[in-house]
Amino acid sequence: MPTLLSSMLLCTLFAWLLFGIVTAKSYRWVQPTLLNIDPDQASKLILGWLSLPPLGALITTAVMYSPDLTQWLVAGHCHNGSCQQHGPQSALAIWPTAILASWICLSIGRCLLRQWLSLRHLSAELSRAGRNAGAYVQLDDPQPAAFTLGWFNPKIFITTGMQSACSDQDIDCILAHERAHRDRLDNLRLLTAWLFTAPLPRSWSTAVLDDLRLSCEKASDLNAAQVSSRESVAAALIRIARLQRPASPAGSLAFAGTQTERRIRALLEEPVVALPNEYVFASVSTALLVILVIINPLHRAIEFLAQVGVLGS
Amino acid sequence: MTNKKGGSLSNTLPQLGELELAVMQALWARPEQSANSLLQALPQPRKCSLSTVQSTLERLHRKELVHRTKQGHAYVYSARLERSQLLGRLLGGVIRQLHTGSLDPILSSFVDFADRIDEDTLDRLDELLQKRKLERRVDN
Repeated sequence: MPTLLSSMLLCTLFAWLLFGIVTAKSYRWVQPTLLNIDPDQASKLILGWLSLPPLGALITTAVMYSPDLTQWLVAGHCHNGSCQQHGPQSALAIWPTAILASWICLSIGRCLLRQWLSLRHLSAELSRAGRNAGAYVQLDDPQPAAFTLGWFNPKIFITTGMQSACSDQDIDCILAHERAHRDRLDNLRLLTAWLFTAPLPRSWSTAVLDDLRLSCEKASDLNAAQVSSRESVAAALIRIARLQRPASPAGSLAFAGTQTERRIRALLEEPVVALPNEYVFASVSTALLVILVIINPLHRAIEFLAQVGVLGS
Repeated sequence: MTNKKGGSLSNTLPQLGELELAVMQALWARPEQSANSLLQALPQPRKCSLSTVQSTLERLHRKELVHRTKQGHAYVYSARLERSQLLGRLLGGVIRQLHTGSLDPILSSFVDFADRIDEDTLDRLDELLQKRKLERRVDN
């Protein structure tokens, strides 16, 4: 039983790594489409894309170790005279797998705990130091800032500096934008994406996480535009970007093509085009088909690696 | 703001627990209070023993967030930082962390503080905005 469990775990980790490489390398092919569709739909699809390595790995393992399914998907072969359907097993992989899995779980748990403590501490301090103004917490500070903080029950914070520097219309846009973040649970969405990519090198997922954040911002901008207009939200963004420029730390460089610029251009130039459901269905079906098709080569690859000693057999 | 030795106090805010914040709030509401009167001033869910309040005040004093002067047998405490100063430091900390990206999964800002957009780009976007407004007016 420990051999089977450690082999399944090893298979999951191996598949996670493999799918992680594939999704990281192929993202540039889907990126232009994702950035040009309805941002609300894009944020869901990007999260789906990021969930492919862990979910794909779990599905692959479940299928690979299910005798009923492997008889259709894995070419028959024998080991030491036994020709029964089987999942790849490696007796000596128990300890390396246990250590690797424990290390991954511990590092994710530690990062998550640090984020949670940071959130709890910040939320408590800001809520206590600020004044509850109903829909938001008002912070009596001259620095212009407005943000939504939290995962499950996010709170909106806005400084008096922001309120005094902006018109009523700007404040309406800002509050509508932050309310959209709160209602869409965008911080929780970003946390989930961050967890999906945590065991893989950060550089593999930087572009995808940036695009997810951009899509969440664009979706919230469009929600705010329903309260006023696209031009009003763009005007508020330009005004706040100018206000926040002096807050940049010394030595930081300014450059064009930033997320703020892309958000403003999306508001002023891009129509909202939703990807037809048929495309989404076709993409999910393709992903599942790919998983089924790679079961046989993956089974053989893991057995080969176990035989040559890379995976510990 | 200077410390006892005449040097300037650090701009970074030490982490404050919930009771420490509640005590600071009580001191902002009524400056110059003893531990005993602070215990009475704390809101109902925060009720705790006198020794807990005293150790909280000791911690706040070590963090240089409260002054204390001896009156008779007891210390009288007052806040060294105004509510707005504390907020300024808190927000300063938040903005610094936003620049490093360490708050990414927990906070969404209206305009990303880490975004370094230059003035020329903002001017160009402003021109584009004016053009769109004009087009909309003509359409209407």
